[in-house]
Amino acid sequence: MGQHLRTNHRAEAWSLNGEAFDQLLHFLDADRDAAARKYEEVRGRLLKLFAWRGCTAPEDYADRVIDRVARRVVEGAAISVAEPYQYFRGVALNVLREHWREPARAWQPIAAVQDAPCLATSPAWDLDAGQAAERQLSCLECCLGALPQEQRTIVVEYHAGPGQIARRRALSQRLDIPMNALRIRVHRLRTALEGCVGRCVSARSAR
Amino acid sequence: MDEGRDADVRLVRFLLGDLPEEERRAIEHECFRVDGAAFAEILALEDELRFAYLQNRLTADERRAFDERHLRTLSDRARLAFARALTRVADARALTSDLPKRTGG
Repeated sequence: MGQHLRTNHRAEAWSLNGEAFDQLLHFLDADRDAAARKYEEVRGRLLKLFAWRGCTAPEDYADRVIDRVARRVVEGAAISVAEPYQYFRGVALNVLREHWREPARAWQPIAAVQDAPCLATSPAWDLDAGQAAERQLSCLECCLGALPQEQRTIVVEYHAGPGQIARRRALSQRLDIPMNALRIRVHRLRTALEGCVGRCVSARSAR
Repeated sequence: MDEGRDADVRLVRFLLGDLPEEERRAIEHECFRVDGAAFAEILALEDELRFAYLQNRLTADERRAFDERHLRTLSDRARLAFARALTRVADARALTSDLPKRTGG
């Protein structure tokens, strides 16, 4: 958090400074820690909204939205706090309309920079594909092994190929949760594993 | 994608860019509710789509839409590589463990 502070979008002639950012956080929640969590939540949702809408640089668009909301907060605009995230979504839709009007080429350089090979989290870009895949597999084995037995079993049962559908149903019954709840639980486990593998690959690449 | 509850089918269509604008906005509205339940569900389903893609469980049209929407950036491809690795490791471990007997599907 906080890395968002910057000067950008000259056309809008306004920049998000520290004071404005503090006011934005206060708008989200009077408690600073809760506000920080909500900021990350809303930014994460904006990123996905733009990605799901096919934008090639969702970070840039999400930051534009946050800038605009912060600006309105600073300017004292009347914003309902009952569902503050919905206000961000409304601004995002306005930004989207502008995106659709922009020539596609205008944002290509930004998208290209965001995709620079040196920013790839995995596999390591300086290895050939085979080495990188092997490193990733080795890290995944290590990370999977670090999970508690019960969670490891869930991951393996859920993803192993043949018999997968029947096994997932059985898993759902055994854990006594519906299939969509199982899917969310497994998604959280996968996200944790993916983070672990990314750190592992980076650490081994640095050796 | 298989295992289709009606709600899942709708969300898959959302993720593949195949919903009318009004329905798309309704789902986005759900995603921006503070409790985060709908957002978590869609994130999980998006993740699941990668596995469906890898295991050839998407129709030709779904596959094309997935290519266009979910394989555009390096981080998209890195996520797919992770899904492939996880499937491989899970398959290998399933073969050597005492997981419930495979019954097809």
